[in-house]
Amino acid sequence: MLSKKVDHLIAMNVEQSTELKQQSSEIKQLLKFGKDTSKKLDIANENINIVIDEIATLKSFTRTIAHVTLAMWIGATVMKTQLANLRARYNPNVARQHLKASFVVAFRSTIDNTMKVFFCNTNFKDIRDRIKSLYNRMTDYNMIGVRMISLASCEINVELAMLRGLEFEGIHVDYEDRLKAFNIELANPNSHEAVLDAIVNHITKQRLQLYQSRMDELSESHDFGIDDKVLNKITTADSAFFDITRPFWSNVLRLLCLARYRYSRYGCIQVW
Amino acid sequence: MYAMRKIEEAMNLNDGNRVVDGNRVVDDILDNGGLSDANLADLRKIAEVEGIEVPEE
Repeated sequence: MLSKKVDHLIAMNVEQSTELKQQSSEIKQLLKFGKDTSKKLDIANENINIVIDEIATLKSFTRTIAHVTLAMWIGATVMKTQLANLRARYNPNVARQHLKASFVVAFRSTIDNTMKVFFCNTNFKDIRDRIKSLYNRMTDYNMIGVRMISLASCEINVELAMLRGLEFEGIHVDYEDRLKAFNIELANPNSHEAVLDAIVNHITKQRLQLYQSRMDELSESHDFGIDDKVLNKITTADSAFFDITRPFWSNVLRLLCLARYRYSRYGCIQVW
Repeated sequence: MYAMRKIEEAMNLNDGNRVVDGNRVVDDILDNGGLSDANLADLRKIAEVEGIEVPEE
């Protein structure tokens, strides 16, 4: 009887021992699996970090590219860059004189009821000569005034094409390509100042510069995906620069025009 | 000379207090999520038409 029980216990022991071995092997497998999984997780984490770094690099790259590209559609940056480039070639004063300005010079005929408005686009250093040459050429006319349009980029601009197509509300103009001038027959003989104001006001709202025309052309193309809101923001900032700075340029122009006279004990001498 | 000095004053280029700062405008666009990474290709197009050299990312 006791021998039977001992045999049974031995048999159970053998069975349990086999089960333990099996379980131990399974635990080993589980541990190995755990180790492998942990390794895989480490690799996955590493990859995620690489992806995060790549996204950050791409974002910073996009930011850098946005700064060098989009800003070149904003007048302030365009002009600042041009002045910096000019300064690299000339001394500061000469560099400033190489900046360009758009302005109009208006004349009223002394013979009939007409006026002529010239559109000029020239370096600051040549403004006086340009006004002088128009003044000398227009012998049968009185000069009404010189008005600033804007600072102009140093590129060859598109004003010729733009001016040709301009229409002014309530004012009939004949555009003369060769002279870049508007010929106007005045309905009211005393309306020349008002007509000049209306023309200047209308021209200042036009996008006359080449970079603006490049921007408009690209943003109208179908394969260009930058949001309209972004483009509007750029256009608004661009026109704001010209609107805000126009009074300053007008003052510069006024100073240049005033400088055409030198006062001496003999009175006012025209020196141009 | 006086008029010429006025030119730079008008642009406010000396004091960093520019009337409209292009970089600030672009920062504002970027900070308000105006551009996504997908726009990188478009920015490259702008660089191309403006003749700006852009390195490969």
